[in-house]
Amino acid sequence: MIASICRSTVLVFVIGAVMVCGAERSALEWLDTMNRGFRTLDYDGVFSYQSGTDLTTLRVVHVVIDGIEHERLIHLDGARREFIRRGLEITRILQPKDKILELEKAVPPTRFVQAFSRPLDAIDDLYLVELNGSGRVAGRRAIRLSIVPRDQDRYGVGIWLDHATGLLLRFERYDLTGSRLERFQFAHLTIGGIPRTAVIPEERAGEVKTTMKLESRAEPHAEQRIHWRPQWVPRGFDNYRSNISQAMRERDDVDTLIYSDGFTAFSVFVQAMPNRREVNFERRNGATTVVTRTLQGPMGKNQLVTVVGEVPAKTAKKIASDMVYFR
Amino acid sequence: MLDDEAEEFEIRRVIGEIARNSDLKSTWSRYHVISSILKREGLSNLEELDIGEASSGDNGSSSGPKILADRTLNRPWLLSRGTLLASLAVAIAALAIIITINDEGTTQVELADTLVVPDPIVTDDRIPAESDILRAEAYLIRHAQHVSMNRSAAPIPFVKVIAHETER
Repeated sequence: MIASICRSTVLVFVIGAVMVCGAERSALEWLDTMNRGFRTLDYDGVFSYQSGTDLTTLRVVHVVIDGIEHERLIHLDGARREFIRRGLEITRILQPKDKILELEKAVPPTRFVQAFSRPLDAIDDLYLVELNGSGRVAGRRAIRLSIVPRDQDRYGVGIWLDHATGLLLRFERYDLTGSRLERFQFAHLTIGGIPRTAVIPEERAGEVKTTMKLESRAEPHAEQRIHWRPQWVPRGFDNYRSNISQAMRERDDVDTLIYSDGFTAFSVFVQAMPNRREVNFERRNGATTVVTRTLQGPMGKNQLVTVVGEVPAKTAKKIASDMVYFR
Repeated sequence: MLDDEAEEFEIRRVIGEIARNSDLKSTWSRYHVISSILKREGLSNLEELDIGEASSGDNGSSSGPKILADRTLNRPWLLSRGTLLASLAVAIAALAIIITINDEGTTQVELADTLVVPDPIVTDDRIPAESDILRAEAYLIRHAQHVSMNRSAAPIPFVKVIAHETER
């Protein structure tokens, strides 16, 4: 009897402590919980993703097996596409004439190198991160956070986190006028108790399987091979300037630089123009801006600079137009 | 060929002949643009109308430029202002042909041969070619993959890649 009362008292105390901690958790602590939740929790959910006016539905399954993340992302609309992650290795299952495969032929191949070591560090200096009430997403109680940029070189973000686990339930990115550019939101989500078999793809005949691997950080001498660099990047991005991927084919070398401020990222691609034409244009797809500029390099050869990222067009244009060549 | 009436063997023979003759090649390009406009295919990129490439292609298709036209129509977000302007310019040129045909009763071929069709690539560098747009789209995918591989700044990795426009 006494033991039972003690157990009940302890349980009440633990629940109370968790509730107090939950109530007092700061916005940054919630972000940290979110970050860990993605990597450590087992979950299986269906979500919608909207980019601009395009809307699509996907399923994500995430299971940690022997300390290694296994993730399966399945496209539920249109052509069948599936991405399987096992640790640092990604296997893509696509149809033979998938547009992604066709597009990859349009630019030289690249390696994927570890770029970001501290994803959310120093974010407080760049964004105002605040708790912004609560809500309900996919039938779950949610904590709402607003992440407002402190300058005009990045977009704002609104996120809803699962109150019980910190898992991201909804994500929205806004432009500087408050218009929504992209959104993802779970419609159904199961956390915990996910069988290991759920991350194993079904084998189907005729599909194309390709594998990509995230390699360790580029060696210092590889960084020296990069000749073109932006003279200016927005504040906070320079801390995360990281790596280079070198094209496999020497003829079409592409310098690639990736920058992140922890919450958003952009890439800079520089390649020699195949002819004397000048190409200067920009596009936007949801939150992603693409800006292309032609610059004249050494020996009078035209170079094509392409900046791609979730940054305002004005920012991307400024980066692309202010490149400098290092010998 | 422009009426889609020719047999495949005949098309291949004519394409091969045109590819070897630059005058024939430019004339064919003008005809094709006009034909596309009349068929409302919206093709506007003269540089991509490389019949030499079409004749040497290994995709088994009998008409390379037609594939390019399909690709243009399947890419709504990339429908550029420049492309629209170029289409409009060519459409006006095509309209001029129709009016002339009606007024004077001459054949389309004779008029088209003397018509100077605007070339958006040569005359205005700000207008991207089909290959430029493809390249930009490819880099967009590359960027999304880089960010996803590093699991940073992406709410769910690979969402942008896997959700990239597909046949629906």
